[in-house]
Amino acid sequence: MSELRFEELRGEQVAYAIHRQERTFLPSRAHCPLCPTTPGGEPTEIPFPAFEIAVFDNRFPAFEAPHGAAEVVVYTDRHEASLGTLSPERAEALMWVWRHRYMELGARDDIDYVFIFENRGVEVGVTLHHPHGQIYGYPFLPPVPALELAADERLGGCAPCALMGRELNDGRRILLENDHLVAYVPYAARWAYEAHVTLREHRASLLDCEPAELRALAAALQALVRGYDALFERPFPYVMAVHQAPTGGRPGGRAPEGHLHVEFYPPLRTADKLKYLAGSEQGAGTFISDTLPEESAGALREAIALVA
Amino acid sequence: MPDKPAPPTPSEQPPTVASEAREEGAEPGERYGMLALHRHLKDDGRAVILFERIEHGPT
Repeated sequence: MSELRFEELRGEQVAYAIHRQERTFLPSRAHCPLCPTTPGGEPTEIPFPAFEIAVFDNRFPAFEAPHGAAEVVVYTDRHEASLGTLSPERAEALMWVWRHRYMELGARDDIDYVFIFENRGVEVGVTLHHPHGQIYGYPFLPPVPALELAADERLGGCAPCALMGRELNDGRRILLENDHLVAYVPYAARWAYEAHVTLREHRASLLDCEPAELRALAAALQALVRGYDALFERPFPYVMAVHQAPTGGRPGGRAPEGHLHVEFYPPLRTADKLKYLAGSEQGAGTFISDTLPEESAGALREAIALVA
Repeated sequence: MPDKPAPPTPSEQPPTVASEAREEGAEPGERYGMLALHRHLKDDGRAVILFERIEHGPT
C-alpha cells in the first residue's frame, strides 16, 4: 500500500510506493509479462493465448483501492508494435477503451482524477517495451490538472479553447488540423517537440465525444507518433498525457470542468541529445529551451506529411 | 458535468459476441460502444479486462 505525504514547501502530494522498487525491469522478449500466455509457456499478466486490447490491475501499483487505482492498458498482443503502427481500427478501439476506463474509474468515490498516459522509450523510464499505456486513478486532484483549471479562471473561460484559437490565428505552429481537432506545438512549449492535440468542440472528457471525434483523435495521435518516428528516423521517446475533466466533485457541488486534450512531452532536442531537467527546471521551476517552437513545429509538420 | 461519470446505459450492455477469450474462461461479456468486454479475475485477485472490437460499432 502506498503512502501519501504532503510536501508543504511546494504544496503537493508525494506518493511513496516502495514495493515498486521490485517491479519487472526491461525483461527479455521471451519473458515479456505483457505478451499473451501461450499454451505450455510461461504465465504472463494476460492469461489468454490471444487478445486485442487488455487492461489489468498493475501488479506494482502506485495507487490502489480504496485510495485510487493503477491499471495497465496493453494495446495489442504483438510485442513489436507501437501506437503509431496499430491498425486504424485498433487505435480507434483504444479510444473507446480509454473512455470506458475513464467512466468506470471516475465513478468511484475514491478517485478524483483519472489520468491516462503512455511512457515510451527508456529515455522516459519505460521498463517494459511491449506497447502499452497506463491509467492512474488519483485520490486527489494532481497539480497539473489543477493548474489547467486555474488557467481557465485566469483566462475567463476554457483555456484549451482559447489557446487553440490563438494557435489557429497564428498558424505557424500548427501540425495538423481537421473538422474535429487541431494539433500544434504550443506557443510556450517546454519541450522541443512538445505537441498538444485538442478537440475543436468543448468536450470535457472522452465521454462527451461523438464516435467520429474518437476516430479522428485516434488518427491524429497515430499521425503524430508516426511523424515523431520519421523526424529523426528512430523510435521517438515521449510521455503522452491525456487531460480530461476531474471526476471528483467539490464538496456539495459539481466537479470542475476541463477540456479533453492530449499532450506529448518528448525529451529529445536533437536526434541524439536529450533535454534534462536540471538546475533551472528543478530548482526554480523555469524551463530553458534550446529551440523555438515555430522551428520545431516546421520540422515536425514536414515529418508528419512525409509519412501521411 | 455531473459529479461522477454516468454508468453505461442499458443499450451499451447487450450480450456480446463469442470470443476466444470467453472460451478460455473469461466472464461472459458486456458491450460498450464498439467494444465487447470480457472480465476475468486472476488467481491473485487482480482484474483483467479483454476488449475486442465488434463488427458494427456506432457511427
